[in-house]
Amino acid sequence: MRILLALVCIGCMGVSIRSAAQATDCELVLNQATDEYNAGHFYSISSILTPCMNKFTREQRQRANLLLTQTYLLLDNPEEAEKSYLKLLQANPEFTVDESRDPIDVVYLSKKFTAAPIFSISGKIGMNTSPVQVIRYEYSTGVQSKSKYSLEPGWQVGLGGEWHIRDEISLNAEVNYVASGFKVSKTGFDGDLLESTDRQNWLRVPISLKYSVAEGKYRPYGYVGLSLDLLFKDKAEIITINKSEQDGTSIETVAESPSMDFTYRRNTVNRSFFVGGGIKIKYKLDYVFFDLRYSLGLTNVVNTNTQAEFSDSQDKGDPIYRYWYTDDNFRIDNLAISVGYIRPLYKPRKLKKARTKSLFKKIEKSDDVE
Amino acid sequence: MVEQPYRQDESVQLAETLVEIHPDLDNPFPGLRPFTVDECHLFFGREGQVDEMLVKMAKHRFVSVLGHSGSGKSSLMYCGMLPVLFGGFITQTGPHWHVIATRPGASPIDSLCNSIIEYLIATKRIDENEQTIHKAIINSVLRSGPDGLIEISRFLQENANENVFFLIDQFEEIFRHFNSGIEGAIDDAQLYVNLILNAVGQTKIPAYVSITMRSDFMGNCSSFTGLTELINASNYLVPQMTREQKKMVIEGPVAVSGGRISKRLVKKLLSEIGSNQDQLPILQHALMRTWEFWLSNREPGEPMDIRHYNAIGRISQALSQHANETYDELSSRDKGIAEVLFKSITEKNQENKGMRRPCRLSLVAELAEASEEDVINVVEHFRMSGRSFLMPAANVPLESNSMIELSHESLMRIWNRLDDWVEDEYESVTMYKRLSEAASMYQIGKTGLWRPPDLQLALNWQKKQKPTRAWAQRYDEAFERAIVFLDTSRITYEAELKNQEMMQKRVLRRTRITAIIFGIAFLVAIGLFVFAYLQMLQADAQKQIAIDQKKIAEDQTELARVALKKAEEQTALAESRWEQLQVAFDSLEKTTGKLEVSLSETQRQRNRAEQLMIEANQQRDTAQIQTALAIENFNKAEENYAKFNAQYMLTLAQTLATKSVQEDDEADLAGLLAMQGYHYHRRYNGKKYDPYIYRGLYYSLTKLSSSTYNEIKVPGVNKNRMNSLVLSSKSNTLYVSGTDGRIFTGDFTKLVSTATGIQNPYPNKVIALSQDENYLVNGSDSAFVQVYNLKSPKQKPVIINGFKGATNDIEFLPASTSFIVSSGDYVGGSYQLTKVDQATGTKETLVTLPYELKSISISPNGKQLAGATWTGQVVLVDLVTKAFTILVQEKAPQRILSIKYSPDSKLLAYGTDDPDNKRGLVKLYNFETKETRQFSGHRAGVYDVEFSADGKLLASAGSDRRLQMWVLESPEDLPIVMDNNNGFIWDIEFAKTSDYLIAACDNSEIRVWPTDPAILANQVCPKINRNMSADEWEKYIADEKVTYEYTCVGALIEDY
Repeated sequence: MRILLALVCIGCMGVSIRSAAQATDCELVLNQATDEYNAGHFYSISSILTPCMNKFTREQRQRANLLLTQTYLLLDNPEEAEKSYLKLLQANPEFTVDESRDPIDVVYLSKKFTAAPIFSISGKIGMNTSPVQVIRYEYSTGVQSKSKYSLEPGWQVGLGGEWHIRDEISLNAEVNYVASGFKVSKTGFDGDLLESTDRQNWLRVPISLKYSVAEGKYRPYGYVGLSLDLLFKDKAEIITINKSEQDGTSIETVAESPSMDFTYRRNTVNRSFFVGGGIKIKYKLDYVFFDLRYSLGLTNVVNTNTQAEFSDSQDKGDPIYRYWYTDDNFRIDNLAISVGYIRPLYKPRKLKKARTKSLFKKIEKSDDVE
Repeated sequence: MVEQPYRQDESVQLAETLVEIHPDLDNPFPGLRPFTVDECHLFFGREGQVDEMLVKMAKHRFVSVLGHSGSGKSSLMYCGMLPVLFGGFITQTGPHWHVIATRPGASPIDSLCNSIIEYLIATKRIDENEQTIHKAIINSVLRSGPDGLIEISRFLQENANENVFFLIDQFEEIFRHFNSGIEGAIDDAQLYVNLILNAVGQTKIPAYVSITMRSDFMGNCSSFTGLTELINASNYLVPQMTREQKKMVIEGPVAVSGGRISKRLVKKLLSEIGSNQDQLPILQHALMRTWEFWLSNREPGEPMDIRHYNAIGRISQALSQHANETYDELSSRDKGIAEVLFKSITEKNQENKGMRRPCRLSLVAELAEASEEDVINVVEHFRMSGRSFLMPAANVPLESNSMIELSHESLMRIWNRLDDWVEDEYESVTMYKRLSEAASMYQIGKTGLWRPPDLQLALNWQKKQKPTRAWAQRYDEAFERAIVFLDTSRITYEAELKNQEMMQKRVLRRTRITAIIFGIAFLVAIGLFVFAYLQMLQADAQKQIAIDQKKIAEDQTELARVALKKAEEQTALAESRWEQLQVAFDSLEKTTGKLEVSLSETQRQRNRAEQLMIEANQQRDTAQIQTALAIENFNKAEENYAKFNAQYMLTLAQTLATKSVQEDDEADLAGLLAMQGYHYHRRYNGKKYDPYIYRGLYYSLTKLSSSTYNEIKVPGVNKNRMNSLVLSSKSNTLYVSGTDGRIFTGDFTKLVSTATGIQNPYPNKVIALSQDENYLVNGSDSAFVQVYNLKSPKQKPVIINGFKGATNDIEFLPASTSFIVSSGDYVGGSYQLTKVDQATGTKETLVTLPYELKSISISPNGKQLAGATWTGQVVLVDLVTKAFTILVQEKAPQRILSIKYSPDSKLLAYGTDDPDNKRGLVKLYNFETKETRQFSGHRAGVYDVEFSADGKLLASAGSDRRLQMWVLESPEDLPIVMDNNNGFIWDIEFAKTSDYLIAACDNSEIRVWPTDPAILANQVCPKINRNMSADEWEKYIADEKVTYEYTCVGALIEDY
């Protein structure tokens, strides 16, 4: 096993050394091509670079294609120049020209292209908690005392797709699996207590409009949207604490229910409105992001048809008869914090209409500065 | 209403019938106890059975009545046999009978003795006060030997005809006594049996014995010799009653007592009692209870009916109910005693069968930890008349030695509470026995201490039963040992538990500490993770900065490298020049040496001539001709000297210029050397365009000012490529177009430039100025050209559309408002040259060519157009005939980048790019001689060639970033090189006066080079602050014959 591991290591080292060697060789080639360019030998550059075109590192490929673009522009070969620039963008979709560094004709050429992603895909995972918003209280324990809801932690995982309408504005669609929960306690006669721990499993499909800062390593963003929330499973466990007095000492009798299926007591299809925001951190060509979201439940989660239904099914339990438990009518909000990863699907392409006018204005402006 | 009268009649009838009932108040049913002799009138159902017994007894003087418990043995004896005897049953001796009824009890002999005494007192044969002495006598007689009973019988006889009958009820008690283990009990029992055997074995005295015994004790009889034989000889097994007999049992006593019983109750009783003989006492009891209830609750004329029977709990519950009632009447203290009492007198055998077990009253008191009186009270309560749950019967007085026992075993089965007690007791005993056994095993080391669940069960037992020594001793003697064992087990286990608990606590504590540590570690890990992540982010940022820095450094390194390379190139160049100079210098020195030799020779000749002249003077007459000759020689020598001296000085001038280029340390010195060289060069009539002198002056200026002193930087971005340049022929104005889409104008003498209003959002490529300099034509990479009116800059340009590709070149036709456009106008396999009238904007295709002309030049005479292609052709187009010819075809991959006619149209210059050899050439074609001269020196493509307006100079420039200028009068001379610009050179123009050369370069740069060294020289001295020192003069001039002079007069004035 160890020998195998060692062999694999050596193999990996060999591969990496070879690729490093290739990169070094090709770096020399690239330097040579640059020297030739600086010496005015434009014709030879393409043939110098050709052997290395498939061996370059991404960064080298970028430089090589930039050099080729400049060369072809000087050789009055705009088609090849454009091809090279497209290859440059394929090597580095985030490449941007710099007017002070790059020849102005390259800058002009660049304005005919974009590599901005049209779609991005993302995945995320995180924790959540669900505040309950009561619409109407039900007094099932026979005491006019309002139920008290408390928070329980949950978790969620999701996949998303983003359609970039513009650099800053995008339309987001996600599919999230959310496991959430809450605890409710009700007071009965003589201080009897009833405590139910309710756990929901949701499939949430939110659609949102997102604005994000399009430049820099740290890019804040915010969004609003609507979500279709499918509550496909709900389970509850009820604990009753029966307080009685015997011989002057108070006795607490605790009874614990089995896990009961409450799904039939809930509305499956729900809707929510949500707002959120976070920060994307550029990582190579992708992003890591931290997200905070608050969803406002818009619908009553409790199915009023089955709210007072007795059940003798074994797994559904019999919360009403056995534990005097009836749901209040409520909506469920959700506060979620997630960490995720975005992979933009870059698509280098030629624009139908070059964006040269803004550049031109910029050039004019630079005169004034001088 | 119809039925009412009938019902009334019926009730009246019933009342009449029932009104006759006058029952006795005495209960006709004895309950659990047997019938007594006094109750014979109530005894029914055994008629006829007595006769058989009597026959057996008459024959054997002995009869044993056998039957199982509750079968009615005793009752049969008391109410069946005894009445017959008293009635005068006649034997051989007579009809008179003495009947002694006894039971073996706890002490058979004593019991027998007591019974005899009782009989004697009852028959008044002895006084009650004398019973003690009689008792002692009788006792001693009985114990005197086996014939004791015979003696007693004889004593009882008042005459010889009287019969003596001993009724020994419950004979099985003898076996219990026999097995009791009491000292002397065995002898006692044996004696008792022997007494009976002897009594019935003789015939002298008419003594008869009858025993009743439970049939299940038959086997025990073999313990006594002779007893079995005796029983075998004469026994009577009590038969099962028939249904009719049972009916008699029920109805008989009722009838006798004047009561009535309904038929249906009788039927019910008979069906419920079934065939179980054992149930007889229970039936009796139920009837007794029903009778009592009926008596107190009956309605007038009502017979005993199911109602009454049901009320007392029927056969199944009557006994239990009765016993419970009795029990419930007790105080709680007495209840406790009762429980102990009943537990003491019952037991459960191995077959799980309840058994009676008589117990001494004193022992019960001890077990119950109560006084005997209390116990007696309780016993009395249970045996009082009408209850008789306990024996002895109510009439027998109790004392501490009295054996208390259950009246009937069926009570154990029927009384639930007792059943429970029996079960409890059984379990308790079982537990105790197990415990005791375990204790004994432990003592001998065969087992360990107890642990749960055994221990827990035993402790529960101890807590609940509170076993006492007295209780325990009845089952196992070693009570203390058992208890000690139990305590030891408990203490050990508790210690173990405590230990375990401590261990668990410790483990729990340890677990908790571990959990806390892990928790803290987890938090720390999270913290570290966050910290690490932040660090990573920071590191990333740092890395990015480092990468940026590295890039900057690399850029700078690159720049440095380029600079170094350039420096190296320059050094190499300088070295090569130096070598050339050295060679020149050497040749100069040689020449100088020769000259010196010549000079000295000349001097010598002059001296000689002088000598000769003197001689001639002396010999004037004779040598006048020779004198004239000598003068002529002298003049020649003078001329030669001047000539060689001039050459020497020119060489010195070049040397100084070269030294000036090499002088890097001090700009002033470099300037002085260049100027001094320039002075000598001028003074000794050097050529105007000397490359050494030019370089010396030019580089001294770059040192004195800066390397960009001749630069015009156009406004805007840094990397603007200046593609095309045109100059005004009337002023110093220039126009230059850039790839940023704008056109700039400037003054090349003032070195300034500004943007014109002309601007496009795409790269410009080429501009051309009309001859009247009112219009500027601009071609870009778009398929049209724009014509701008320079006189009215606000006016929109005229757009000439209709081209199919980017513009390559534009040239105005001489003395015309038309211009020719060469574009990438590829139509149907050919390219077009288009002629455009600037004034009208009309456009015509001049000629179509199979080549794309990248550069064009129109001959100044307007007859011909020459075009250069990137495929290596020079194409000549006759503008009159519009025919084209190929003048030159260079070998591939050579390209021709630029082309230009000389002002006199006789020469055509073109610049090439030779990628294979990495060089560019300037070629000059002479239309007259058809010869081509080649100028080398460029190391990359020559992007432009230009003639000076006077046609004397030819300049070229290209992507090797250098500009070369040849003097066409002396084409073999080295060219003047101008090469300190920053980027590629795309276009050059001579000023109309030919004294300036202007270049449009990369990187937003325009360079202005004077062609005439004098212009440069004029700029040098004003920048110098001193003149050469004597030492410097000596060092750099290094010739004593060349006298020191001030190089810059201005500096001298300043010095002064």
